Amino acid sequence: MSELPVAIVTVVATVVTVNVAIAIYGIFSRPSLIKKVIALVLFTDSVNILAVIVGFRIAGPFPSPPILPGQPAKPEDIGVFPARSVDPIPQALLVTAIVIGLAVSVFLLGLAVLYYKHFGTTDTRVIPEVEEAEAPK
Amino acid sequence: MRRRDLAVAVSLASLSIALGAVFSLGGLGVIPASDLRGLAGSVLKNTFNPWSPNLTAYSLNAVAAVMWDYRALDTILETAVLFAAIAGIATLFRGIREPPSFRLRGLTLVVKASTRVVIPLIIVAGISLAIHGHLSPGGGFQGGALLAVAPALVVTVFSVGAIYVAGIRARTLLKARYLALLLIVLTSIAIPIAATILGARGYVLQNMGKADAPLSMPAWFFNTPLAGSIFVFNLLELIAVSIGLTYCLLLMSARMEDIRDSLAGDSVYE
Amino acid sequence: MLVPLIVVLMFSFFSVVATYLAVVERDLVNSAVFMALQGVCYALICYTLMAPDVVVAYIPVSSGLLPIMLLAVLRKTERYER
Repeated sequence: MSELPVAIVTVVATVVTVNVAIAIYGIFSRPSLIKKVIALVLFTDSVNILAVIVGFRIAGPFPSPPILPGQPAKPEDIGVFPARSVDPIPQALLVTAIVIGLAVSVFLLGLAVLYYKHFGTTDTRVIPEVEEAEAPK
Repeated sequence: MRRRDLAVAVSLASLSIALGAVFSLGGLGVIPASDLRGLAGSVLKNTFNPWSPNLTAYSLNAVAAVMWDYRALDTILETAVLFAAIAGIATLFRGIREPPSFRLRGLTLVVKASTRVVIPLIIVAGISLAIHGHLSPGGGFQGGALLAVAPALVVTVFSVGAIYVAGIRARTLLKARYLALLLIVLTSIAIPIAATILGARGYVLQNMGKADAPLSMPAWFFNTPLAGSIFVFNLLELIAVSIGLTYCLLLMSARMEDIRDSLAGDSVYE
Repeated sequence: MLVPLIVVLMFSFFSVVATYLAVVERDLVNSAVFMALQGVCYALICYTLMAPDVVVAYIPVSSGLLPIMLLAVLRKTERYER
């Protein structure tokens, strides 16, 4: 009965690895600043899914989320919970990672607006020439 | 250009294959594991355990207990990273001129009427997620992010002028966020200060009483578990995150002619 | 019992398609919409992997706040790349 979690993890790991590759290709090969920010957001989200996979486990027919359904009445009821539940620590670190990814993306978007105001373009092939033209002699 | 694209494609393909090989050959441990790791087993056993009152966090949500009680320092530092990003945005957009308070046209009447129905639902859902953070999936940051979607919808549908007409300025928002962050710091050092006054011991970021530090935050609210400092942190983080994200949204929705070019070499303050 | 596997297969395939279209597209508004679509697919995958806190933290960020901020930035800078 452990084929179902193993199959799910294999499918998700393969697909997320392909997404990581596509996102990194997007960061390197597209010249627009905002396209680079979009590809960075896609890359961050794909790596976060890999962290969820690390916390998954094989338990019973299917594992349960790390939340107690009700207050336990006897001390023996608490033993049922760690037998079926997934690992809660990667999920807590993942919420932290989502916040940090949001902070970085919002800052990069603000920087892109200021770049357009100063240089007049968001094309990274044109910006070095503008920078050379306005460098102090 | 063709050779560079080919080099990028080949390196990305080898990165994909290497990542897949690391996963399947057990480079990060056996995935998926059959039994819990030791630390996770101890966290799950103690997250709501009234029979071992020195190790428990009285919270039914194990992820919230890990975030705000067992590894609270990580979350405080994550709040600091968000603070640094908002400080960076405030520095980039310095010298911005506040636009005059007038309403622009916005979208059509159908969209406006349906948004007026949806926005109170979003606000109530966000606050409810944060208050029940220790009983069900949710928490401070989750509620704060959901609560910040409501001003984003208002800016999209009714135009930015609707927010300025209501009297909300970007600087007031920043000051309110500072107040919420100050209250978070005060909550984390509340127990050591109270313990020092009473003559006992207390740890920074302490939630429940330990064997040698008997003071603890309130753990029960009549019959419902109220996980002490987890509840207080959830409320304060809701206020701090929603105000911070609304501030970023207001700055980015400003018109291009109001933004001062702060990347130029000279000073923007005359 | 087969439902989680079917859900994961379908939505991971959709997420690959959405990521590829988001990276290749020239019109950046379409790219923002594909980014929101990919966020929804990932949220469903996370839900099947039994991580509800991650889902509730991820949906407002990736399908609500970031596309709206992107649209506000695109209004001020260039909408089409190249």
